[in-house]
Amino acid sequence: MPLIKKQKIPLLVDKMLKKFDVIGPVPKDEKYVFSKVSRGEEVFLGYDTSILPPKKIFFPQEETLITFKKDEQLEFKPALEDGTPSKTDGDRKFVIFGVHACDIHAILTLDKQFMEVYPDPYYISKRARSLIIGVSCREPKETCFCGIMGTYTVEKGFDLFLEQIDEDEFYVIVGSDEGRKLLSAYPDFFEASTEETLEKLRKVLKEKDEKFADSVSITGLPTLLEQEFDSVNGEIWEELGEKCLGCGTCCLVCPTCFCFNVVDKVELSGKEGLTKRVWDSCLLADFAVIAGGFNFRPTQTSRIRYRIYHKLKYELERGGILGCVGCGRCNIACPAGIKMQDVIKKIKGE
Amino acid sequence: MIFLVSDKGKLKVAILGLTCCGGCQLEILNLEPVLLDLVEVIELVNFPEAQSENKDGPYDVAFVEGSVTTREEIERIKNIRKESKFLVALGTCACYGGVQSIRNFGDVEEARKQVYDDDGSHIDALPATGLDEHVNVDYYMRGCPVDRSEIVDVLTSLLIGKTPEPKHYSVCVECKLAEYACLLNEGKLCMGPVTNAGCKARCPAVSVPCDGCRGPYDQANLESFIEILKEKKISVEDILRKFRMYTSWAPQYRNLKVI
Repeated sequence: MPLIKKQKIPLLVDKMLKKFDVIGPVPKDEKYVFSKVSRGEEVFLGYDTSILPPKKIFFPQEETLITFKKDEQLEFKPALEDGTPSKTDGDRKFVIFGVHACDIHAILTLDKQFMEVYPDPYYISKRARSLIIGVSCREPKETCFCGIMGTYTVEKGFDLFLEQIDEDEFYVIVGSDEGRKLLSAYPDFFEASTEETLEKLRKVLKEKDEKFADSVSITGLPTLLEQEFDSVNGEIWEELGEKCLGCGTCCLVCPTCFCFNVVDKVELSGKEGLTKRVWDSCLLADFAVIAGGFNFRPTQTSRIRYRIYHKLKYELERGGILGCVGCGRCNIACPAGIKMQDVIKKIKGE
Repeated sequence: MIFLVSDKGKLKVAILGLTCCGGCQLEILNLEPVLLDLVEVIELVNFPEAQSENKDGPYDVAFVEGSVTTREEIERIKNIRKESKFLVALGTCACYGGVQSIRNFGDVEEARKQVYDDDGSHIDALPATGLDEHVNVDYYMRGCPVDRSEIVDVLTSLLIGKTPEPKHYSVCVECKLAEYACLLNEGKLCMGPVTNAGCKARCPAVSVPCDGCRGPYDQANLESFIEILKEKKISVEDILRKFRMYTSWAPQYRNLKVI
């Protein structure tokens, strides 16, 4: 396996920019966001987390699905035809540089949803053009709980993964043929690893278990949740419902939430318009409203309980993968200070 | 209420003002990029701020800005209501009473003396309220001032025969979608979590905390929000002042207990 020196990474990105669009973590208002870069040194691999997850690249906050026009007849035009990207979308491949292990797990969850459970041409077209280069975290943030979810390391879902083994060295793990091709396309930037680097890698991974692992595990959660639901007025949910502001923030920053609403936007002339999808959140009051104004989940208690169930139970039942990767974005963003790991611990009676 | 432009020709529109700064009507004039498209599909029957020849109703749609603050205005809004098929409360003053409703919490006589000295007897001042204390309102367009795109969206909906859909969620949603950093979590008194969306989080966009000019959304959890602010060591006076700023007369805020 090869090795890359830290100072060579911006140069590698510069080189890649000749062939690919590169999206990476960049600073914004003392936080970080994933954004297209034009120079390698813009990519800040030491970021803690991003406000929104890389999900927005494949599944944007707002996305046009269909445009329509009415002259003599009403004409519809899908933004994508047969799942192939339209010209306006561009067909250049792009590299997402610097994705953390938890977020790679999250992308695998989304792949399940958008490529298997409900194949979604809009998602697939962008996903097919993407290359993912992961990067390791060295310390968990206070808000992270990848230790509970077991997502601080990742075995698949990337093309290359840079595991930092030293202040200025990254061990490069190849995760796909595309990744292997990247190595041979840019041979000047990588060097061969030695017995010494392997030793360093072993040490780093071992330390990681110590730093990241949590005494609480997720085993038995779905079974316990089954019991909790029976007591509809269970104090966990009442307490959460009273605290929750219903702002929807947790869903909007979540790397695995995939719910969206579909809305039409018509021009003033009434002769043309478009249908778009926008991110939605099950924490919002209108989410489960149906015809006649009836609401399946009329209280905040019922809504937040639904979210927790979706993440820790329903998603597992449907796709075989948990809907939470412990990235901690909801913990950071929740104005009410609701923490997912506290909820998990409470359900588990820890 | 449904209109179809093809059936009815141009939509007959009135844009009128009661007690306010006039800024929301100005936002309509500021719709320059689409103003010409707009007059293709609507007929401005009565718009005294912008044109000199105006007619009374009936109107298909009346946009009325400003709060009701005098007996004469009560009569005016009742007449406008009678003449309009669809009434839009244009801006926070028309929705809730606006900034001027702060005076409802004190003695109106006292306020009159303070402002006009002893010569204020000719001023007929009532508590400042939104339109709906006197008439039914079909759509509340919140904001100080309103968001221009909402004006176009509401008109478009009416033109194609759809009831305009109000948003039932907070500014936080639009703030997160735009990927702005959370100001409340930085310890600032941001009203985002209880304030009705629709402004695209224009204040947080420039790192200014939300002042709550659009008023509370219908299921806002005020109790929890106030608790959170107190935990952040924001003083009760500051909290109360913020709630009293733009929409103090909103039913949810009117009798708000902060302590």
